[in-house]
Amino acid sequence: MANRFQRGIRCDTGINLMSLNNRIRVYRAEHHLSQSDLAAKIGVSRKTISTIEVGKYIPSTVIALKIARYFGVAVEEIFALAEQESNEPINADQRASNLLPGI
Amino acid sequence: MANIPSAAESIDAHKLKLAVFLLCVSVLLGIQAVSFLVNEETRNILRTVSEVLVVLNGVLMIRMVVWKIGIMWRISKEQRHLFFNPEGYVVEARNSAAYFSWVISLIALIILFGAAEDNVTSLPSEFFVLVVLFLMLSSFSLSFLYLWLIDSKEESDAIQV
Repeated sequence: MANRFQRGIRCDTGINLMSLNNRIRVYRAEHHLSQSDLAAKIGVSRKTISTIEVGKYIPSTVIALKIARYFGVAVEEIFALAEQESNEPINADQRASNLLPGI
Repeated sequence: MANIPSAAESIDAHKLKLAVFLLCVSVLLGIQAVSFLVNEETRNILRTVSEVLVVLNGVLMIRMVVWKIGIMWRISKEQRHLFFNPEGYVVEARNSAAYFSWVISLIALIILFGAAEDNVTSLPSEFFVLVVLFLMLSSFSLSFLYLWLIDSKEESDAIQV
């Protein structure tokens, strides 16, 4: 699939510039939720959901986990770095090499 | 049933009201600073405007406090911690605005300190304090409102299911 994550935020990871993309809109549509509904479910304001969706705000780990938990999926299903075009599962070796690029 | 805003929505709205209030206070401080630079006739007009603004700011502050107490009564005890440890875009916007305001105030202080050292001006110290406070509050409130408004435009474009 070309790019399932439509929008992203530029963020400096310290290694290189990446974007954080998300699929909140897709999951909202699947669950028939408005931004306000989702915001109320996870205890944030609609503005927060809106800005995450359009890529203006990088959510905290807590908010990202709350969103993922609400939809019943892993965080990686909703949020991904732009370099990671698909959200296919990453195996343990790939995770280790991502965490320890010098090894 | 009326659509009652959630605790998070109410807390964000409170931050917006606070920014508007600070902007009004900064206008008052700005007028008082300007009154040092104008002639007696204009100063009298500005004094009258200042008195009106003091009353308006007082009303705004009372309304804000009453509104906040109302929210505190409405939301649950568990949700009250959101007032002190909130999360979300608005908190980040507030922090960005606070940082911008801090930088502007620092630059203003350095410039005014330099001006005082060189005896460029014989204005009283109250003028400098008012100018710094004006810059601090106005830069904070305007940058916060800017961040709020540019997002609102995006919100209206967002998909509603």
